[in-house]
Amino acid sequence: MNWEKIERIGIEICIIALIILGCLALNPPRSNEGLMDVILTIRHYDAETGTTHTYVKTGDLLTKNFAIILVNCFRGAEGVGTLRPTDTNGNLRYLYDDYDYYVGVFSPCARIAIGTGTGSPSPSDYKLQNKIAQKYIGSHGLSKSGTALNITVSATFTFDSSYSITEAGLIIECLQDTSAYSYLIARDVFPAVEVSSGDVLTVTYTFKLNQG
Amino acid sequence: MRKTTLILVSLLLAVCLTAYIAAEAHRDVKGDSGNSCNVILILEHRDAQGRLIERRVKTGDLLLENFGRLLLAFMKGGADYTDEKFQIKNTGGSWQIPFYSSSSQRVRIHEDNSYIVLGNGTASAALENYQMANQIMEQQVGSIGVSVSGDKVNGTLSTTFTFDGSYTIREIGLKTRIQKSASAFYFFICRDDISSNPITVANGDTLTVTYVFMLN
Repeated sequence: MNWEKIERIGIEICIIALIILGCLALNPPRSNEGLMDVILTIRHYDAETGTTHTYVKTGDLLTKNFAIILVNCFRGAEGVGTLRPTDTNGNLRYLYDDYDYYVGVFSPCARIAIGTGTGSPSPSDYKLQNKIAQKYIGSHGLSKSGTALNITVSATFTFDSSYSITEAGLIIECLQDTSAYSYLIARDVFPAVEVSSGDVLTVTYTFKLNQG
Repeated sequence: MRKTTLILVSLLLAVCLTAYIAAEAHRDVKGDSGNSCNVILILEHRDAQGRLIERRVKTGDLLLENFGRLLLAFMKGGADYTDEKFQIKNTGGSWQIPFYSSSSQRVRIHEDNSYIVLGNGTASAALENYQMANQIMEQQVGSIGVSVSGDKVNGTLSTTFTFDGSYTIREIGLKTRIQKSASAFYFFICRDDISSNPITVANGDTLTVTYVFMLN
């Protein structure tokens, strides 16, 4: 290969690189604002060994129910009934509280559920695949730094027998008239956490807002 | 010398480009299933004859602290209902307990009073914002939607403004109202500052504002 050819190739590489870098400069990396991630943290206390293991899973799946409940809170002129979530029994429900212009979320009954199902999570999930236990939210937190905001909810399970825990879900309750129904808003599966009698499992959901 | 310089520069650019692309690819790695939600603001400006003047898609609409607090209030209440972590700042700047009453502790959102708001204030959007810098008009949310494709879920809220004069839009927000047993309050959950590239509208123009909550 002679120098002229090398020179031509070099110039071509320069031009292509400059064009691509120019395009990237015009379309800079996205801002962290408006981003939200859901992190699932499972802390397992092994009663037999006295040790604690923590498993962190980023990217917990939010279900279609979550989106439906969220947009219903702002449905304005749309009115009730256009979009209905599916309760944990598989029934479509209306979101209204006494009157059709209110969305009622019955917060004391939100809970975290765990199970032994292994099926991949899907936005259409409305229940755990094989639920073995659920607990009301026990502790909660809020922290912020700059435009970043973290909110957390946790529940703690104590076991009296052995299980292979492979799925977790977050459930909230909303009212249809005066009756409350449960809706799965997040579900995820993870490598089995083997628990035995006396073990303790703390499941925490962290919603990270405005963070990349 | 010229040839050597060209080769070195081209190699340097190639290395920089590769590093940049690798860094960007790494930014998108979000763990096991890639859940990264995003709020997108779509602005569609048409003239009085319905001709499209501009369609703008703005990613990264700021979620306000109130949004996080509302989410928390959805998931916890009960005996803790007075915890200040649940309190939401209303449009007047006062902290409010969001629960309907101390006996029920349910969050009752008066969705009939959900509005997309336009303003011409220039203050940068901040997590703690509880009102527009300078509100000029508001319009009830007109339609909602949810769509699913694979793991992706999009929730949309939209409304259309028709203008009776000329305005320069520099900020956009989303607010709704919580009903308590004996009172109610409005609060914002999103506010965005577009003052660096405002939208100027004329009499008869329309502006359709759509918020897209992109999940997963």
